[in-house]
Amino acid sequence: MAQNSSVHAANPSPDDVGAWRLAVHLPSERGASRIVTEGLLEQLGVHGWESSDVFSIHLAAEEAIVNAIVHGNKLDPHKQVYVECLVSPELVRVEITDEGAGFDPAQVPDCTSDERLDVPSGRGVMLMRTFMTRIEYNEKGNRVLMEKRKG
Amino acid sequence: MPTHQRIDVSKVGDVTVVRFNDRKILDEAKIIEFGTELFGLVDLDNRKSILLNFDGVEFLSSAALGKLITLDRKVKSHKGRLKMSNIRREIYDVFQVTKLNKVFDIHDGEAEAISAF
Repeated sequence: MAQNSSVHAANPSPDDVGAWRLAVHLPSERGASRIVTEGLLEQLGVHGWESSDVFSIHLAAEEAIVNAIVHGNKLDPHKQVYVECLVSPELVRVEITDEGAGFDPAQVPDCTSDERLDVPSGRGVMLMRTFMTRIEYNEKGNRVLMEKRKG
Repeated sequence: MPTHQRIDVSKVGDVTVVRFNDRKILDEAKIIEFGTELFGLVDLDNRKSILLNFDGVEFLSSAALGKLITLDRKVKSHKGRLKMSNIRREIYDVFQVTKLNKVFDIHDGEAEAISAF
C-alpha cells in the first residue's frame, strides 16, 4: 500500500528548530492514513505531548485524512491526498489537501440535533473542530488546516 | 457458533458480554468486520441483552461510532437491550461531545452494567 507514497522530512526553518516535519502524498486507499499517523504518534511522544492531547490529535488527523480519501477523492486511484505535519513541543499543525471538488463545512448538518443523533455518519468534522485548537478550510473546501496548542 | 476476529463473546447469566480484540478500532477494513460481527449477534444469534465492555480499548474513530449507533438501533428494533461499560475518559469525551452518551446506556464497570439489565 505504501509503495507509491513519497515521504520526506524537510529541514526545519530557524523558527521551528527541533520541530519534526513530514510531507507526504497518500494514495486514495482505505487505511492509507496509517502512513501519517504512525510517525505522528511517535513524534507526539518524542515532543512530550500528554496522552489526552495525543488522542485528540490522532482522532482529528484520522477523521480528516479519511474524509479527504473517501469524500474528497472518492477513493479514485488517480488522485492523491497531500499531508503536511509539524510537531513541536508547543504546537502541532496538520494540513490535508485532496484533489476533490471540495465542500462547504458550514453545510454539514449538526450531528447533535435530536433528529440526527442516531444517524450513523457525519461526526468527523465536528470531532475535528472539538478536539483541535484551530481548524480552517480553504474557500474551495478541499484543504483543511488544523492546529493544536499545548495547554 | 460463528468465528469472531474482532470481538470476544462470552455469557454472564442471560447477558452476552462483548470485549474487543483491538486496542484501536480504527482500520476501516477492521471496522467493517467489527460491525458485521456485532450485527450478527442480533441478526443471526438473536441475542437480546448485550453488554459491550470497552476495557483495553484506547481509540475509536467516527466510523466505529457509526457501527455502534447502527448496533444500538438494531438491538432496540429487536426489543433487546444494549449497554456499555469500562469506557476510558477520552472515548467518553467523544460520546459526550457528540451527545451519544444520551443515546447509549453507559455504566462504569461490567458488574454494575450486568446488574442493570
